[in-house]
Amino acid sequence: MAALLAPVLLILGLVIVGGNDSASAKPVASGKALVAVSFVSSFAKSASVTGYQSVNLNVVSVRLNPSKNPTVADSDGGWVAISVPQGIAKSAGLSTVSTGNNFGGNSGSGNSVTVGEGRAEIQIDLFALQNIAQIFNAAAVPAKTYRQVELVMDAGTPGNMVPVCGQTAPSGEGCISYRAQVMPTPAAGTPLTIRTSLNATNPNGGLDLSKGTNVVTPLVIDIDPGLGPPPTASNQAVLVTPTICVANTSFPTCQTSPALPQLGTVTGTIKTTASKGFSNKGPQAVTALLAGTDNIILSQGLPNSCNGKTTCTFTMNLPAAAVGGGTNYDFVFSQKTSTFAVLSNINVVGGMATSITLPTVATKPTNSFAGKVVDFCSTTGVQAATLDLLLPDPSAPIHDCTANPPIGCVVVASGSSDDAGAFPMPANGKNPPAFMFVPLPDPSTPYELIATAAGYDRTPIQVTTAGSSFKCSPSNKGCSINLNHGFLKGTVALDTGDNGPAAVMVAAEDHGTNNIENSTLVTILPGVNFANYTMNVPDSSNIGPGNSPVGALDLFASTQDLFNGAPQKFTGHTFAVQSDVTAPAPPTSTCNTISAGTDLTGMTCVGHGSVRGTVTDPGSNDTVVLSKGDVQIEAAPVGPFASANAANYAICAPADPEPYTLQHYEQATPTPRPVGNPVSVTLVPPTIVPTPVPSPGITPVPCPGICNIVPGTPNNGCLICNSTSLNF
Amino acid sequence: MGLYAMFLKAKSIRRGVIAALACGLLMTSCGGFGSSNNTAPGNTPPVSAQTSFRIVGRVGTPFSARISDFRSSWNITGVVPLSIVIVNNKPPVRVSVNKLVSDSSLLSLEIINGFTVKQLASGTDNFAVAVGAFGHVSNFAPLAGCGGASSCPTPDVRFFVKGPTNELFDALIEDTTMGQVVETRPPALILFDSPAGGTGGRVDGIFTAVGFTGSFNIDLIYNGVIVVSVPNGGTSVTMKYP
Repeated sequence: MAALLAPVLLILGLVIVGGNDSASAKPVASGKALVAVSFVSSFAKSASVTGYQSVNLNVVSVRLNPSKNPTVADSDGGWVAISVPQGIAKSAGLSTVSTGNNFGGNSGSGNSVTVGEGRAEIQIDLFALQNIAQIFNAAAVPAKTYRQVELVMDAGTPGNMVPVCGQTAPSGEGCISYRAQVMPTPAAGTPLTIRTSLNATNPNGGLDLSKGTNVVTPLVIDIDPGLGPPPTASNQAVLVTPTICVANTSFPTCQTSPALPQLGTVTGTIKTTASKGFSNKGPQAVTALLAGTDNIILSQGLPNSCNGKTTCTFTMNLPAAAVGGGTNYDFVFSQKTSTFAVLSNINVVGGMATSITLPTVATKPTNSFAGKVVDFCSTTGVQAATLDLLLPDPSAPIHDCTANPPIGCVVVASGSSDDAGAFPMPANGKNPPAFMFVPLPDPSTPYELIATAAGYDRTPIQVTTAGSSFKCSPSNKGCSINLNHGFLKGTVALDTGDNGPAAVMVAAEDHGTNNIENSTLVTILPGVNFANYTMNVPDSSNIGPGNSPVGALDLFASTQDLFNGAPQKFTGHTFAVQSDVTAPAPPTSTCNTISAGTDLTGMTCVGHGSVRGTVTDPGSNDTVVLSKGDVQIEAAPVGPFASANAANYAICAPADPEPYTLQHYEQATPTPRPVGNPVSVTLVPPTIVPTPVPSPGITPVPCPGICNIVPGTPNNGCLICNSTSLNF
Repeated sequence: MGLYAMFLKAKSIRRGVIAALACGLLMTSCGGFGSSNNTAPGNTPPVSAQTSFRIVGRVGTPFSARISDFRSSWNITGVVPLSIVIVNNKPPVRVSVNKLVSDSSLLSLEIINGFTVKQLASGTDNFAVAVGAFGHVSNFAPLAGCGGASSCPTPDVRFFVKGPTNELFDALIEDTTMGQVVETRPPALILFDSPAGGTGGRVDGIFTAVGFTGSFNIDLIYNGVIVVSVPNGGTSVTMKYP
């Protein structure tokens, strides 16, 4: 995109594309080189990995040092840091790089903190990284050969883990969040750093950036958390011994992991008709997005060597699956006062090289683009709507930018609406807002602006040229976009005899899928066992991800329970589900309401349960989805092919006496495909730990549990969950 | 002195701004800035450290959140990134954030007390939920402004500082009886818990930029209605209502 940005930019000014700028293509300072850091996870040194549902580490930065001394002090002046992306993806250097879009939004930097900001850091979900690398951030660093690489973590809060239920006694409660404790534990006030030395076994080892001033050099860091066994008591920490290695240098420090190549190399060519050739003095970027989405993976400027030339060759190293069909990308070139150049659905395979040729760009005036997103029913602004500007790929055999997902089209810019529904969000003097530099479209190739917001219909708007500005169709005036929707009303209730207070999340998803359309959090008040809810949902004309209208919705509800006064992600109450609820009809003059009735009932405290095992024939990005009564509720990743965690999955769910269904999905492009047949599983119920009988002078304290056993039952203690195993 | 020490620790606040802020503080009952109340200008009672939240991850990801302290809770909708600060905070606090999009983008919640990130939680699932707390919590408190009910004695007061993006700023948030200073970066949502002891009345906010990277863009939202909007307010903005 130019745009692409979508996310990114938003606020931050993000931008890019399209104007945006992200790329503010400033030349890289003399003597600097750009390095793009990616993370991937492995578990070769984590023998207990199958005992965990999620593993999260809190990362502050990555540091590089040219010293040949593998034990060089952390306080050495030679360290340079690639920190958590600030605000929006940070751009640096010469050829501007905007990366780390998935880890953005922080403020502050490194150890410099201000009130209300804390240290800039980000939580890394290692299970989400095990299938494919994700770009962390990029920075311009002195052009040297670096030999020492460090991962800097939060010493005070290094991470948290969620173990599944224990298989052997003693065990702590499963499916709750435990604090991580790094071993050996650093002294108070000491930085927590994990190091690998590129010259430890080979004196010539190192990451050579001395000649990399004209390219973006990738650095793939493999993180193994070194998981200790799950806790044997609910008040313990999870002991971890993290290690890192570098996978992609001439002398990699990784020996057995990652199992597969993590990056694919794309070599691109682009031409311009501008008489003075390319120039990176203004916003300029080549951006790669996941195909059919506004998810920017990497955005970088053209090499300095392209300045003044009309033909430019560039290289991008993109995270890509090595098996299972690779990863598909869209590409956009954007530059101020230039047309966009887009290329859609390019397959990139890890460890392989791919060549692309973008369409030729030409000089063209750019203008800013703004508008408002409005609720058709209330006529008020819609907050937090996402707006994607799409352009057809001229080389695609067919294009339909209104399709879901788009066919043969690329997101060239994106932004969000503010509290009043206005878009784009403001930026600042250093970063332009989204949609700042959008070239006026040719009459034959208008843009398609896709507006989406939770609970509303996905709405396409055509954007054409009117004089020196833009025109939206349909639009009330200017570019005011009406979003249709309906209302869903109903009641959620705890089981008979159980009362609030309780917080309950109600979600509505497209029937038969895991595509959630909206959710709401309602509170059941003390002394009562139900609450009414109302939420916006798309109407029956909404086009779903299958590119057809979604005429029915599935609903599910789950309580948000506390363990020892701390809220937990995984509930101890049964899910309440309701399948195949007819979606409201499209509005005419007013929006329509449907009643879901009182079917979301009976949520009762059964305690946690979990199921773990293996699936057959795992790919590189597979999932297992858990359903109840034909309603899909949650998904868990499957360890990738050939890795230490290959084929493993683990899911936490309440120990419902009724069976669940598990289905293995292959994350094939463009949509997941079921693998094999669904299987039924009933989770092993938790063990009840009775509260000791009071004795004279002693009032026993019940052990903590995820929820209170329903009054009226013979149970009078707390629940410690048990594991269920299932290979399929 | 304590305030100044904190400023120096922050390293990013310019002297002029410090002076202006100090003047503002002296004119009010002080408190705030999160740590302790070391200015000791008289009878100023200590206040809780500034508790704030930062929603990060894939920039542009929409989310909804329910945030609660001991007295009040708020429903919030926004996009990543967003800083959220509770003024007149009464711990413990509890927060639940969930993505409003079905994709694999990261949503990460940071709970910050004073200078320190106390807790992080995150999710990548469809409509992933991240939950957290600071202190031993129970259920969510009643909604500020009584969820829109008429004749509610406690208004829902919010300042939404939309821009300039990433500009470090200081704000003095006041009612008729007290004021507190907060510091963060836009986009930021400042929630004013129980103005004037829960009786409502006039509120105001004085905003001062530190880095001067653009003009303030701020909305004052009172019981769900934007009552004052300053779309291009320069580097210093004062707003009040009613």
